Amino acid sequence: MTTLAETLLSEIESRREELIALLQGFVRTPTANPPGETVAGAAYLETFLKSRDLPYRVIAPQAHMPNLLATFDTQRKGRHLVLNGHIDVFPPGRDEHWRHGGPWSGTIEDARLYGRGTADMKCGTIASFVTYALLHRHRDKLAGRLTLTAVSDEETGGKWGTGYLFKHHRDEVAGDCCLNGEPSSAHTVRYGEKTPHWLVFTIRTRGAHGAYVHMSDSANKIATRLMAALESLTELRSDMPEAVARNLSDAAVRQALDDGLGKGAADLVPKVTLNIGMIEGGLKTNMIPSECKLEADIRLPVGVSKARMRTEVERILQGFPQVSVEEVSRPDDEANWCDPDGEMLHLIQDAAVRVTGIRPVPVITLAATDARFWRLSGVPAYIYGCSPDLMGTYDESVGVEEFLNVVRVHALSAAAYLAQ
Amino acid sequence: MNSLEKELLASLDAGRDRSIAFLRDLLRIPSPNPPGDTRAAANFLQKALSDAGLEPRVFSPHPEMPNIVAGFDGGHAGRHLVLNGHIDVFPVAAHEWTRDPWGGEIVDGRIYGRGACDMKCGLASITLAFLHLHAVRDRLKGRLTYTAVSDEETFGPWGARWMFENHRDLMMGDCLLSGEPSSPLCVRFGEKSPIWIAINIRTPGGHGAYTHTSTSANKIAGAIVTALEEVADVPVRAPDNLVAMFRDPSIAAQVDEGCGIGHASYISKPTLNIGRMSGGLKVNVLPSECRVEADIRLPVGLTREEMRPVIAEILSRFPEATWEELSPPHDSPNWSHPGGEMMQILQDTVVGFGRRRPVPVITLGATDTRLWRYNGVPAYIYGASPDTMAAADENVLIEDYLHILKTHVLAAARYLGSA
Repeated sequence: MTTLAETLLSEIESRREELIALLQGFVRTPTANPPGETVAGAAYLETFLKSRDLPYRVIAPQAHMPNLLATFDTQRKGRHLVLNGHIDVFPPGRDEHWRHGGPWSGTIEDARLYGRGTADMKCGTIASFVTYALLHRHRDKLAGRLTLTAVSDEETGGKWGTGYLFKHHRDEVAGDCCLNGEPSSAHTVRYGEKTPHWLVFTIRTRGAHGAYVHMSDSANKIATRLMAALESLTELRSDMPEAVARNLSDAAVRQALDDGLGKGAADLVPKVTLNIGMIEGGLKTNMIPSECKLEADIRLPVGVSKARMRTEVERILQGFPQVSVEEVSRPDDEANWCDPDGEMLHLIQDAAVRVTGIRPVPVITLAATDARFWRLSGVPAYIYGCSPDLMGTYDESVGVEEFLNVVRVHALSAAAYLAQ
Repeated sequence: MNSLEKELLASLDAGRDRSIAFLRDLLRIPSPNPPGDTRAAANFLQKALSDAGLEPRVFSPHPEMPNIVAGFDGGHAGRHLVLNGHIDVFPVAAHEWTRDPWGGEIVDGRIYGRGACDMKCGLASITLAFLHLHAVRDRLKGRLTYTAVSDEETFGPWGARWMFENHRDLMMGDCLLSGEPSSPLCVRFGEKSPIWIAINIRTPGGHGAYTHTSTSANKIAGAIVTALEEVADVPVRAPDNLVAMFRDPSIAAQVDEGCGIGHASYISKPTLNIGRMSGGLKVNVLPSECRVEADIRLPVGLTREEMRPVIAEILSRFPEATWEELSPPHDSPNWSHPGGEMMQILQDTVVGFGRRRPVPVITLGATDTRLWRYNGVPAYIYGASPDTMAAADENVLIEDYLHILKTHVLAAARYLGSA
């Protein structure tokens, strides 16, 4: 007897060229954000659904940034799996820097498909659509419900995309588990992420002539001392949940992080990091500066809440009466995670081993994705996708076979999650 | 007080309102440097001179930075006194001001505006002093020269420096009197010298979340700023008489009263100001470049040649940093005789007005007077309180301005002498 998994794999194989063309066509539809005009990209995906008689709704709180929502129930009670991908991509930069026919070419060279968004995340979004269509066809062999969400406005924060769906259509999109095809590499499954905490510090002093150092404090020198004081934030110990701590001490996980993100990355995942992205102070060499601005990019690990960070920063600022601070990142986000030993994680690992021969390890990463909306609502969300190495670059691309593997792993793991 | 001096004071009293209006008008003409365009303010001064029948010469080696020179001979042979002021002022961070920086507003006996103390008060004063003395020139001895220059605030090349390099004969005299800020309680006879350096820090850069991938140009800049504080500890060997002067508690107290608490103690120490820091592109990018501009002041008794290797050693600890010197490479701390004739004239004149005897001071800031001292001409400064110099809401007390004007007129008349 042929298993559902075998059927899915053979159907993917028989539609190989069709699937490649499907991704190519999507890449050839520009959806850069900013500016965030994604109507054409959404229309492309709508055609896919319409041609297969798959019902869907368009939810467009901003007319130029539509979101698509489709769902089907099987005949049996069961769990609710949600697929999530985004339509918008990074801006393309300068066309002349692209080496493979421009940012929207979808050119295939040496078995790689090129264009802005191929990796982040049109590869993954197409995997969600193909998975949805395949499982719909075989819904008689499944239990529960499958929902497909394709959103705009991921690159600029999600207010009009996933954030909007969670605010206004929560019952339809939260589900019991989320599978997302953002880049992860074949070696990892992402189960959590740090969160950015961006602060702008403004230091104001009286100012004076530069020779008269006794007349005024120097905003720049205070900024320097503040920078040094802020370094203590990187020593904060996180209240790491035990499951996460265990995961982060796993040698295979540490190796995967260092391989994927550069040597030293594994050490930083559980830590607060501090980048002083911008410093701008003073008008002139020979004036004591009366104003200096510091922009700090603090990344909070799982186990350090924004509330705690705010308290720590306030404590430091007690020693700096001349300094005011403003938070410019989204105040409601938190570092987020789901079970690194959860059921869906194992299903993805098993599917990946079957498809690629590689067992991806669960990791927490530094980048923020829409998966956080599920995790912060208590719903496990896992990310499995192509390599992130070229995302956002002028050579952004995905291997053709790599893309098909993402489709295969998504289809198999989703089917396994909804198996009777 | 002789009859000429009495006449001069009487005409100053009669012209009180015109003198105040003259300064306010000058403050209403912006001349910030950078960018340093002083043409409008220079036109205003030229017109004042021309209206009195003088024929000012204008030198504009930079088309937006004119320098004005005028002069006259007295009715009798004598010494040559030069008056000097600069037309450009510091730039303005307008949002920090509660007054219009170019409004010349009067509030509670003070005139507000950028340059009110540094040094449009002094510039208005030497201009009016020159005109008052011109009116009685037949009875004066010697020669009086008026110089109003541009490009002083950045010690750029197009002002007094250019004039000395190209028209030294027009600038030279037997003595120089400047109206730069000094505080009415002090006469400046010397000054510290600035070393300005620009430091550029370069690192590979990267994504702001991936702090393990590169060092941070901004954090290195912070470490450099901290390390540079060591320049304040470099030993100084000042002449004994100067050391003794500023250890005198009564002199030190009056210096601090006039120039700000702490001034006296910084006269003989090197200081460090970090005037500018600028690094990074975006909050979430690891910065690959940061620029720091440092303003180090050398006291009398410490040369550039001694300070440079100290700076070089500190910065050599930071391989990501390169640096260059921005200030004129040959300047040095400089002073005229603290008991010189013009010093005594200024002190006696001020006492004659019933004010406290001003004490000699070496100042922390540098001025164009250094150029006269380098050329062997004794140079003295008497001007407004530096209290709000370069700060928001810069202002001068009207009574101080009028007092400075009277002092300049009488001191110049006394130096030249009358027949």
